[in-house]
Amino acid sequence: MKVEDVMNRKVKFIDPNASVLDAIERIIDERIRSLVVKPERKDDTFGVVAVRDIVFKCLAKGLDPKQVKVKEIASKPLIYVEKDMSIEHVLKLMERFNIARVFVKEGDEIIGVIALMDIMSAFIINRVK
Amino acid sequence: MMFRIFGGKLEREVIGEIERLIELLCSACQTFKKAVEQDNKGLMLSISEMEKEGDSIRRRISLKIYEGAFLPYLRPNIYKLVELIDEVLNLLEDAALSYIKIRSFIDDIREEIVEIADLNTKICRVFSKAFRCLFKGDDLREIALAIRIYERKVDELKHDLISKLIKRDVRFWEGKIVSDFLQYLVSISDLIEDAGDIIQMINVSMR
Repeated sequence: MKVEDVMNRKVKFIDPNASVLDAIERIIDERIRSLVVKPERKDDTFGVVAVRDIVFKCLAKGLDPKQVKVKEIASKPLIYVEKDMSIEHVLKLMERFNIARVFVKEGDEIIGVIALMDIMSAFIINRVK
Repeated sequence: MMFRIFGGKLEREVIGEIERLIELLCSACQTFKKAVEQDNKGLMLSISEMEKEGDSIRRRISLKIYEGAFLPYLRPNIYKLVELIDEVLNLLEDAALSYIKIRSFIDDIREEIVEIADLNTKICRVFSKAFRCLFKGDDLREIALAIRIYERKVDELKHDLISKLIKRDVRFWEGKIVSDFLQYLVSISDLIEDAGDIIQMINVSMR
């Protein structure tokens, strides 16, 4: 299996200065699990804010999600993979860095995301083919 | 046990017809996907012919069941399965005919429609495998799970499409036909999921 066969093309972006509450709203309304945080400056990199970041870095600490900006809780840098990479290789990366998702980059553009959930589904589908 | 239930002449004929019906469904889904990709009206219209062929297969199956194919306790589920497959073909025809009316104003959602059509084709292939496995006595749990995974993916796409379309400023009939079209298209995976459940029920009833 290749990254391209498994990746989810639904990648959603959020402004770094948006509030955590904005992020929560979008994650719930758009039925997604994470948002890519756009770079704030040219020399900045993309980040990611997932449910895990929202809960542990904001809500569990008793911070107000309206006051906290997503850039303050975003995880950086993103781990990227190529679309023709094998899933076995991606899994090794995820295990090594203890991460639940990697992003697929083509040139400068992020074209997809692979979460452990996508890999689990792909394995089941592959088994019955 | 399998031989006793499926081994008679009439039973084998019904099974052959159901396999033909499922194959027709897979071809119709594939044709639909290609027709959307190429925006090909002729190809889209050919789905109506496939639907008619599906109707005649369903009639032949019902006659054979009437003639006494299968043990009485299996007949309702087998016929229900056939009806569901036929219903999917009807939905596909409705989607094809609606597509022809709306093809000029769906360019911004064509990619998502092709993606749903592709998932529908894949789910049909998995369903076809489920039907074949039924006679081998294989465990259908993983196949049913794969069908559900595909169905969830279609569901996610449906919500994305609705969020995209809701921002459009449209006239009533244009909006109504697009909405109906999407409803037909996304209901296909729902019905195949139901048909997959019926296969599991038939599998369990034979134990």
